[in-house]
Amino acid sequence: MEDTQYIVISNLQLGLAALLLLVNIGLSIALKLGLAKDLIIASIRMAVQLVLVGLILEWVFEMREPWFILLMAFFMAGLAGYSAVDRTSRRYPGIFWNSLVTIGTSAFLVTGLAITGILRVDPWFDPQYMIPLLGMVLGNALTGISLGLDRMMEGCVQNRNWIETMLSHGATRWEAAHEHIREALRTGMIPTVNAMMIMGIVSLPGMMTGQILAGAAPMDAVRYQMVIMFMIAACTALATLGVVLFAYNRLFSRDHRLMNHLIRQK
Amino acid sequence: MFIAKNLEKKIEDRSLWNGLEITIQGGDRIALRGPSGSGKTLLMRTLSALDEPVQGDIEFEGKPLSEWHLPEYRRRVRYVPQDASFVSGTVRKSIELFFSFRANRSLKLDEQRLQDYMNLLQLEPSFLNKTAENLSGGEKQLSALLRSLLLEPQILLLDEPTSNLDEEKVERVEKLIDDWMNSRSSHSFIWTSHDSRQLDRMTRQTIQL
Repeated sequence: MEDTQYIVISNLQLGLAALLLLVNIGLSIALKLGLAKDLIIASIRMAVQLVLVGLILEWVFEMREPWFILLMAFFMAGLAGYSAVDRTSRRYPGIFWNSLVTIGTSAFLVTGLAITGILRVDPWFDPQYMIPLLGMVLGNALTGISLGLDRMMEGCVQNRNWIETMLSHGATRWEAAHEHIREALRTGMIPTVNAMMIMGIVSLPGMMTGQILAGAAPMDAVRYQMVIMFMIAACTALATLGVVLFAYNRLFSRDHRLMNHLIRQK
Repeated sequence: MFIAKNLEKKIEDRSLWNGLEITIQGGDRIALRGPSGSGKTLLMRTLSALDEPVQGDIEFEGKPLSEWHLPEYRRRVRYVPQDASFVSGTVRKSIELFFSFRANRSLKLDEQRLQDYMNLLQLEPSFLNKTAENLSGGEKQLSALLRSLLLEPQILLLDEPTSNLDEEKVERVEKLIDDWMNSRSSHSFIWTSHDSRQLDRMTRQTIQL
């Protein structure tokens, strides 16, 4: 790490950057906006969390043990699966399990394919690639899952009368649920599709900016960004589809009944 | 034709129906009576297999409910809920949508019959072009009834079918159901209403909850 192409940030420089926030805190106090406390807490949380992650990553990077990296990957996937459901406003029994299975399967599948088939990382478990790629894919799939689940459950609760009217007139569970499945998928995919639409126009994506700062040629950074966006889109679509189908299977019984009584407000 | 035995449902520790038995033959006109909270709507939902009873067996045309493909069963035993529900779009679209379900594909929307029903209900042809948002509560109820009848059920489960209608339309709906009953000997219905005189007029048998 001696021949870095970027400027290493010292503690003093870090402190100077933190000072920028003082202006905002001062303004908030002067105008009685009530934001000062939140800003201070958020800043401290961010700093502590990032330092911890940094320490863990340095440790993992030094170990380079495949089983340990896989363990970390499973831990990340588990946390993402849990957080996805933690954000939803409604629940049904088995929802955490559904989320874990779909996010784990889709993220490992997509990241695995990218690492071994596209980027051809050697060794495959090289944490320099595995951890950040998996992290980005999980972070986005998490949003897709939580939006998709929320929309699906909302659809069942808000449209109970209409769904049951269809069922009582001979609709199968698929015919009655189809519109809500489609809406849930669309809702889950919107952030990813929107991000791709405006990428590079409104802002430079974080990963690309990071690579450029670290000395990568802009076109190389662009290529990485494209690969990661394709991965994110594929994984989010897969995870959202998976979890929405799981929810469908739970909320519409095999004998074509709407199981709304399973849905509980958080 | 339709037999329900030993039906019971539990709502928060309260047990409903007490092993109720129901038999429906073609031509039966059955009133479902009972005080509020006695589970009339729940019973309708259970008979149409939208809800499951905690115990009891339902048999239709010699086959237990568990052996029926429920969409096929519900095509024949049709529940018409009190709160008619519609998606956006015209009345005609909502009627046509129901004919697109797999279980209903063998049926064809009979335009002549639709016209006859509408004449009977004194509805203008333009009624079919009204959109869901522009329908009054009563109009929704009429469209829901139209929709259900056109799909040729054998047993109608009518939950307060005239609760949102004025007197004149109530009379029309009763006439419509009378005509439907007379059109085929296999037709039958269960009817709930808060209006006991209406039940006296329309029905011949009673289920008391």
